[in-house]
Amino acid sequence: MGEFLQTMIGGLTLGAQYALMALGFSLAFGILRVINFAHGAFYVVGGYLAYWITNEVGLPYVLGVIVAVLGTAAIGYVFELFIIERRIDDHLATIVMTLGASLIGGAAMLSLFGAQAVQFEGGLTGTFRLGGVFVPHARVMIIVVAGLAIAAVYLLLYKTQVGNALRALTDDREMAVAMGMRPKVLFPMAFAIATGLAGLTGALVTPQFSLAPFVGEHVLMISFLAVILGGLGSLPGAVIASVLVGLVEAFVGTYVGGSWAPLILFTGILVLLVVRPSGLLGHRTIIDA
Amino acid sequence: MRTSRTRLLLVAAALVAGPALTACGSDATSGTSGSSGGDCVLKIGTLGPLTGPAADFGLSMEATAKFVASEANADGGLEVGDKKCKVEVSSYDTGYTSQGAAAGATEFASKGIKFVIGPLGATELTGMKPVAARYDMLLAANGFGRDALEKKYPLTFHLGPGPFVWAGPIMEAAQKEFNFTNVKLIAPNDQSGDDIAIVDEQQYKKLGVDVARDTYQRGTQDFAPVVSRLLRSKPDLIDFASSPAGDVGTMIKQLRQAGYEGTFARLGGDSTAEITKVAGLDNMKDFFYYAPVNFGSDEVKEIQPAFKKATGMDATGISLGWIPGARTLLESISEAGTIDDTKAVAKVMRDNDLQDDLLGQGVYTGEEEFGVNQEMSWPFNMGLIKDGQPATFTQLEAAK
Repeated sequence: MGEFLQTMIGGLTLGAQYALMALGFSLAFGILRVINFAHGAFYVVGGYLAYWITNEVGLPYVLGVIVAVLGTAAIGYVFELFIIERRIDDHLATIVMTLGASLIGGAAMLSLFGAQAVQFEGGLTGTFRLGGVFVPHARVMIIVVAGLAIAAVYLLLYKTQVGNALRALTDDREMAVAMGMRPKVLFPMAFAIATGLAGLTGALVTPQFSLAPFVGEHVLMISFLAVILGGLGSLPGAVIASVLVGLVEAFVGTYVGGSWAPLILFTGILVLLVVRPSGLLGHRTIIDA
Repeated sequence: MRTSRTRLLLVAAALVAGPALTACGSDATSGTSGSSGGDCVLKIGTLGPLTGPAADFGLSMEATAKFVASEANADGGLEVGDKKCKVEVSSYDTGYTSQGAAAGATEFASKGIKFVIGPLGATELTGMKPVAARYDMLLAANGFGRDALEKKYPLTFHLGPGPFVWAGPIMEAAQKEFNFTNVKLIAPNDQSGDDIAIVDEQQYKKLGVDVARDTYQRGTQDFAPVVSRLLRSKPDLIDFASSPAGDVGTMIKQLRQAGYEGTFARLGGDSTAEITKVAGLDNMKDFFYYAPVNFGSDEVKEIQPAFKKATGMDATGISLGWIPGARTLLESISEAGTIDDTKAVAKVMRDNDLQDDLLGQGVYTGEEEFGVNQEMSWPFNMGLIKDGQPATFTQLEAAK
């Protein structure tokens, strides 16, 4: 029973991490229709910014996290405004642009910090223990932050005028512009929020694992998976899918074997997408190219 | 024009999967070996994972090649026949994959490179050997695979001893320190992971302890499920075999968080410094490993500044451990008097006395395991971290 509970908690914490990773990715796709291949790179940049502030400059970890969020949001804002925005309706072009940004981000971190992992412990190191069940403090923090981030993004999109404007621009850009909405202000802001979330994730999660220039590739893969499985552009779908992926990984990894988790996970997703091509909470649409 | 979202996503999915399926090759220099107008240039290829979780291995291999090249060039170049040849190093990032190493071999062939220091992963060596053989390329490699050396590839050598040589003696010495009885082995589920873990498993069995082997998917970032599985059998020793340093560091961190109090081992290639960076010395606590060199010895202390100056990086255990073998390659090229005829160089290399200032007297091994005596076995050590104190080293003899 203890092992089952431990696995369940492990799966949920894993799912919370994945949800945090997928949230920004889903936001960029949901609002801008941009598949942001630089999402993993923003995660890495966020991790390195937090590391730099904490380990090199010597400031508290909390400040490192804040700098990571603001720094990656600022980069994302500028990137959207000056690069993405020019070809926002050409989906293949935005794929290439974000892929290029991803390579540049990885190479920049490689030049600045080297290929090897850096020593980055972050702020929380202890573990809660209850009987045979353990939960590291840092994971609890990630769950809390993931919950807050999901709630904040939901409130922004569905309970504010800015959110209404963003969704209107997504649904019918020409009509929304005619109604006075300004995509050149709103889209960079949405993209900045998405990249800021990636930076936040990097700052929180990399101390738990390892921080090296190309660890973002896995994050991109998981985010992409959650967005597809959850239903394109659906934030609740991405969150539910992330938790499902986390649980499947945990239970298969524990009871069947670590090597089997990706096989079973991807087979399950394949079957699900055959049965329900639009994902868990998605719906079929055609977009203009 | 209207494009379905499905089509857009197919392109995107291909791009996500792409990096996992392709090697990220890059080369550092161009040109070919040879001599014209009196200038002789010997180009040495070196390849391995220069980025990613196993970068410590590849960068160490590259640094070894650069260091021995700098030694040769400090004397005006390597003496080959009646010429002094400048030694240049050309690097290639294999991404720690078989296809990356094969692509590296083709790249080297296109540059006329005949001598290679590397590769170092079992799967890399498997992918590279057939391509290298096609171009008569001599490999001074270090893959720990069970078929790393083969009679049908006479131009492939091992720069240092493999786990067949050192795993047994290290386990025996470590058991006196930690008295372990229940061992769990974990390694990635590919040839580079499996082959070494299988050898380690056999050696633990010979020692008479309970041992079970498990695998994980290379690229895993969160090891929480793996940790739960590892702890299920309540082991008192967890050996990571040749798992990448970044993975080992993360697993150690997560195992300690989960309350594991036992001992760790890393009986694969040595990258203890990198593991310590990720895990933290406190989490390592009790840890033993294959150490190619003794960092406390005068010879090693003496060479480190020169190594740093020549390569720009701090010497790692493996980079130093590969120096004697790499020097042997250059000595053999010099003695054979050719920078083109790899078969002639291989013949001289087999007859080399394997005496080196850094590690002392080496011997050729491999006949029993591989059917070919082309593994340079230098004296080796058990590195030991006990109670979180800095590592100490014990020199050991190869298993008889």
